[in-house]
Amino acid sequence: MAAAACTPKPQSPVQPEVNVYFCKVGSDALVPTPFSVDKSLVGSRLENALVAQLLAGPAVPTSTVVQFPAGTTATVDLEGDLATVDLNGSIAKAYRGGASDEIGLFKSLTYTVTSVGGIARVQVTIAGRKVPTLPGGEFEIDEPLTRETFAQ
Amino acid sequence: MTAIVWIGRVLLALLCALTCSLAPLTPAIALGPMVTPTQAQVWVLGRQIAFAHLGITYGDPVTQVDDPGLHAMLATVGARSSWQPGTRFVAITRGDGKLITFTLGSDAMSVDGVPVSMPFAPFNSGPELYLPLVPLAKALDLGVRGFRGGYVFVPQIVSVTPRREGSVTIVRIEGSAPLTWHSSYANSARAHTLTVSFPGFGTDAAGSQPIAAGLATGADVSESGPPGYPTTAVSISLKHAATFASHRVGAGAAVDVVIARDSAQLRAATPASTPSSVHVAVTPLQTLPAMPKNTPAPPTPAPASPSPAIEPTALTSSSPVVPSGVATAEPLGAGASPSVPSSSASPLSLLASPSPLTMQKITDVSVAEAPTGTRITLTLTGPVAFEWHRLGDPDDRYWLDIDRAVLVGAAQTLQSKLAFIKEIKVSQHALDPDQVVRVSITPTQAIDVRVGTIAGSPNQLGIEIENQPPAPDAALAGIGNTFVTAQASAPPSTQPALPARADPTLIVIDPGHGGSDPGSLNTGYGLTESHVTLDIAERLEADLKHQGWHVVMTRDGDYDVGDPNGTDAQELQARCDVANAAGARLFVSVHINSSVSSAPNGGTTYYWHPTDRALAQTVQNDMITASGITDDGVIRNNFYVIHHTMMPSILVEVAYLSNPHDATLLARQSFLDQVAAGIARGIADFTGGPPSPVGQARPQHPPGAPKP
Repeated sequence: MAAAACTPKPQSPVQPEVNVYFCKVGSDALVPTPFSVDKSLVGSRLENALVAQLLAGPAVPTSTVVQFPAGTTATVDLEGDLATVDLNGSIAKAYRGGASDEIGLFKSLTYTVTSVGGIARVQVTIAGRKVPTLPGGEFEIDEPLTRETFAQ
Repeated sequence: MTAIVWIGRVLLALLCALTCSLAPLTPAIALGPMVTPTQAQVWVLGRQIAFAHLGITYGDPVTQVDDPGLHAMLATVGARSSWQPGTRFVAITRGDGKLITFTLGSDAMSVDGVPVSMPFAPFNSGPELYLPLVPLAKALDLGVRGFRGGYVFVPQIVSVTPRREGSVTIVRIEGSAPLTWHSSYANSARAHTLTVSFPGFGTDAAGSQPIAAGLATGADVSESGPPGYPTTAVSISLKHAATFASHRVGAGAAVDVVIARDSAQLRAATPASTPSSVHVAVTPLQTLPAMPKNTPAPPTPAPASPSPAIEPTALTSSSPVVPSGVATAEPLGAGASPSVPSSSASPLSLLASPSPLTMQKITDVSVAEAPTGTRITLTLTGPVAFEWHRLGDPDDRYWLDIDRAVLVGAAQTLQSKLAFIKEIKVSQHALDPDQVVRVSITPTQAIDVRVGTIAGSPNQLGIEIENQPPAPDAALAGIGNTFVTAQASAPPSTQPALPARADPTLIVIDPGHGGSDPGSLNTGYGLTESHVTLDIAERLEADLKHQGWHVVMTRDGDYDVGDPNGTDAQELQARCDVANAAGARLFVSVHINSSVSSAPNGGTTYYWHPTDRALAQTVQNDMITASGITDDGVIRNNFYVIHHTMMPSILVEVAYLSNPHDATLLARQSFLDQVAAGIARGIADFTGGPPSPVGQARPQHPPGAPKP
């Protein structure tokens, strides 16, 4: 038994607990929030689940973190180390938030998506198209985002 | 007196006719009019031209045909001469290719095949052939004006011609010398005006003309400034908001201003190979004579033949603000081969290089005293481009930034024997992402600086602080490079333009949002972001103008800067275009923050390029101090407008519209005043204030003073 406990577990795609990163309002501080996920979720299915949770907000509603506008939807595709996140719905029409929230949205999205092993870059598209910024936004998203994008 | 002069001229003509009929000419036939040497100064395009043999004959200036000053003068306006000793003809080719021919003894010259009479004919005095300067200047389409007992030859803007090409309007502006220009764009609900200014150029074509070509409705040509160094402005009225680019045509004596409805049209209409928004003050690269004991070893061998002596005064100063007198490693006047356009390079050919943007190292820095001043010598591993600025009185600092360069070793402080030099520093000004080596000079008075390669050593850049003060009209900024020798085979119009930061006096303010994009809203307080940003921007504009800056607003009303039906990216790019095309010194975008939460409050200043952090921090500090808003710090982030502008750029998020406390402040006029004053103070603190013409006091902005 003791020997078995010392035996490394075989590599498993199962990730019973993952982090969704929310960003505090008015700052760029991240709030890693653990969620349990179905063991069968891997790859793009796992990423889609993570992003869906990010869009849905924390399990306990709070106004202390930045959240995507209600009615925003997202799909995630993976290729190599690049995740392409296509945002649609209300955010694809017009963004009326401020700069700090805008940064917070993409920072939380980038950290959440890249929390899955092997994914380092996040290309955001809006309604299927690569665009320089959100409609009405300022923050550049036409190139893949990485955690380094938000390094000061 | 007049009769005597005319009798003399008739006799001269007779004598010249006689001597010409007895060709070949020999020094023995020394019959000719009296040439009285003169110390009168000759200026062309703000640049003093030093003649070795300038004289007065019949009251008019004359000079020898092979005088280095004449070559320099011709080069300044893109012309060149061809003459062989013993021959009767002097051919001068203008920048536009037209031929001017003087014939010894004939008082009629030929200008593009058309005879034009002169007061008196070219003549021999001893073995030397003399040309009358004023008729030559007129044949070159230069205005002739008096200045301090000397002569100012002013290039002219000679024509403004609009045309329609597909979806864009093109206005061609032609001058009598290679052009350098600045653009500005004024946009309001009622009027949209694009103004292209040509410093150093006068015009006889002042006035207004209607234009029926696409987007343009009219053009107004006007001249302002001192007669010796005027500025001609061409203001093009537009039907509606537009974007534009400008690029040189041919040898550089013409510019095409391409006006389009939006950036997409503009890009589609402008060939990729065509440099857009080229509006540079080009520092003509000079060849500084080698020092008697030049410390650093020249990395390239000296030319086989001794470098023809260039008098230290023959090439002057940082004064030239315009493309001209392109001194290559081959000194002016050398060769005299008409097939070698050593003196006719256009400004763009200065920028032309097979690899103008390759990073180079500065392997050695030295300083030495020359007869004319103190020379700093930088030894380079290859060609570099540079930009220099000189502030006006009372802050006379000078700095020269070498792009794409890395200084090997530590920063250096150099000593000068000139009493008015407090400090010379050579340092790595920026390293990531841009590599910039800065040479900064702190004097106690206005200084004149010559920049050029060292004779026989094109990989050494000399920066010479002159003993003498600069000319009153000396330029305050310019750019140049050391790869001029590669120009001959490089088609000027196919080279990319270097980023232009041509107007050190200009700040572009960008009031965020507007028109179809109101930005954030706080209906409870009746606040709309686009209105508040414009309000602050207008106050900031007034404050900066009070400091002495020129200011261009990307918008001065509630409208889209770009096409209202265009994309968001086009709108943001249109704002960048305004600043880039104007060659602004700084770009400041004003925004109001907002959050889904009402909790966050305070102000933040964003920057993108690491080199802009100091600007951001300075503005942030002063804004916080002036307004009392909570300090949320400076943050580096990739906002479009501070990424795609080519000059130091910041985006100020003044306060949170979504926070009740901040919203209360934003509704107060006094708070908006304080914010604007703080930003303006930050700009003043960072820049040291706007450059001002030498000898003119800079308008002061009293601490804490309300806006005028």
